[in-house]
Amino acid sequence: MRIVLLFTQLLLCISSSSADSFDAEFTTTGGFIGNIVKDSATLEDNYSTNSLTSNLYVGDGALFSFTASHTYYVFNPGLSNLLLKSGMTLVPTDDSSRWTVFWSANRRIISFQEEDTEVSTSDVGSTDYDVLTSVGYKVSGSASVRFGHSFFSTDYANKQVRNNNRNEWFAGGNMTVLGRASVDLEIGYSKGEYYFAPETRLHPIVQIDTTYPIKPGDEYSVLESGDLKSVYISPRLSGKVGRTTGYSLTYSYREFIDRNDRAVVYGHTTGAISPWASSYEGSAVSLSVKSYRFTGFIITTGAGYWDKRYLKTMERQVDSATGLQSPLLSTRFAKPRQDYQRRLFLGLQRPIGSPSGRIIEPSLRIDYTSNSSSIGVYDYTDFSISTGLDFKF
Amino acid sequence: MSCLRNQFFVTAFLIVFLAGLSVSGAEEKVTGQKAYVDLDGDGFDDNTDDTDGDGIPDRFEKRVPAPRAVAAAPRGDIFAALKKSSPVLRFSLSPLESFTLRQFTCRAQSKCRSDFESEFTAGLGISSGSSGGHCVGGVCF
Repeated sequence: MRIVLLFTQLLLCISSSSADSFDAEFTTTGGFIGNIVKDSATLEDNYSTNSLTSNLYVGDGALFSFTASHTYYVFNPGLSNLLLKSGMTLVPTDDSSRWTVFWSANRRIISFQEEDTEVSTSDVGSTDYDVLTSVGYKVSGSASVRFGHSFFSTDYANKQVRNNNRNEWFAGGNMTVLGRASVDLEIGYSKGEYYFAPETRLHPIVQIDTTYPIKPGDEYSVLESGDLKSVYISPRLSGKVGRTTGYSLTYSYREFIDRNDRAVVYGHTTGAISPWASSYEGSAVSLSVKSYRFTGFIITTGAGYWDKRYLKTMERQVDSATGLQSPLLSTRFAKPRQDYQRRLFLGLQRPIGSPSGRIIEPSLRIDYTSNSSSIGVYDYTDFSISTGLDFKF
Repeated sequence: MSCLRNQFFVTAFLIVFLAGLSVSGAEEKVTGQKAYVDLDGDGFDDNTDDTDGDGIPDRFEKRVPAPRAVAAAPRGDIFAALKKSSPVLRFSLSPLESFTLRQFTCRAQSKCRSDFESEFTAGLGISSGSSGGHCVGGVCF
């Protein structure tokens, strides 16, 4: 019912606005995903997503955007979710100016169907915020520089889980080389507070390890805080090959600064929400190719390789005799996690315009991921295929 | 470390190789005042006209499309500020057209690359309910 009301409100908003200050987009996507939670258990499902975005333009440089998106999983309905997003974007600078200023702020709420069922997992929903401020300057006819700051925050419905807040500063430049290729370089620094289980914590008097075992219910109270800082550099080369094909080759390298080797985060099998389990350092290289070779179609394909070193990760031990997971959690079971990931994708879009200016776009996307890890639970493959229909009006 | 070194050399080789292909394939002369600029990283010149706003530049369409009724903001040259005479005609743009034009000039600023995977699917714009980044049942994915 909530979803119907939201979609109705958005449709009313559409119908009451004039065409020169409003546009909207409805997307419906359906497909198969071969590994929902990206682990060795390979939980697969069919899903459908319906999404409606409305954009309201005010003055010369302001945009207010609202999105409602619902995803339904057929065999795992508890994972079905509703995403509500609202945002504002300001571009106060005129397009004829050398200086460009971009500012955006978004709020994103995700709630899962499980919240309304007997399976009480109402704590897994979250609210995300992001704010981005960036300034650009056109140096010459084919070169520009930019710098900016962004802030991200995730507020979990489970109040035991600490907010995940992160600040990032970045600077970059773009210039044309050889007349038809572009080089883009970006560097950045990120800093945020994080919470971790210390690998050992000795009792001040009796000198025994108080982090073993972590009692049920104490998963979050044993955590300590620290700063997670990292720097990254990412050069990109893009250009054309022939008349109808463009490519983009991106290399990225990120490194933690003053990494705390005692810090342990909860892994997949612990059942504890762990915002920093996905933080990693390492390098990545990806190649994307876009082609208009076939008239009326946009073909995008790419391949990527990631070398990821995560924070030390704790999992539940598995009894080799019974195959059952240990009920005990302990930082003694923590291990360094290093993943090597390979990904391929193929996308096909066929935009069809109408004389009234509306666009309908069928699309197809195929993804393949292969991930190998130093921790067995993260050894997995994923093959996903989806089709979509996008209406822009 | 050796893996990192190998990756660096592979990337360097690909850069040189692709740059070479770009030069050898330069059958099209740059005409007019507009320089090749690719801020969104799809390999194509951002200044290429896309009158109907469908994502396919006019030059790859079978016939020149009619302007899109609500979003056909004149792009012109994003470096018009550097030239004495701007080709962009300025006559009462609507809020939508004006915003589209301004947003176009700062498309390299609208996101940063701190998320290594954000660049991987840049420009595809296909919604997917399967995309991760959330926690369910205590598991973040």
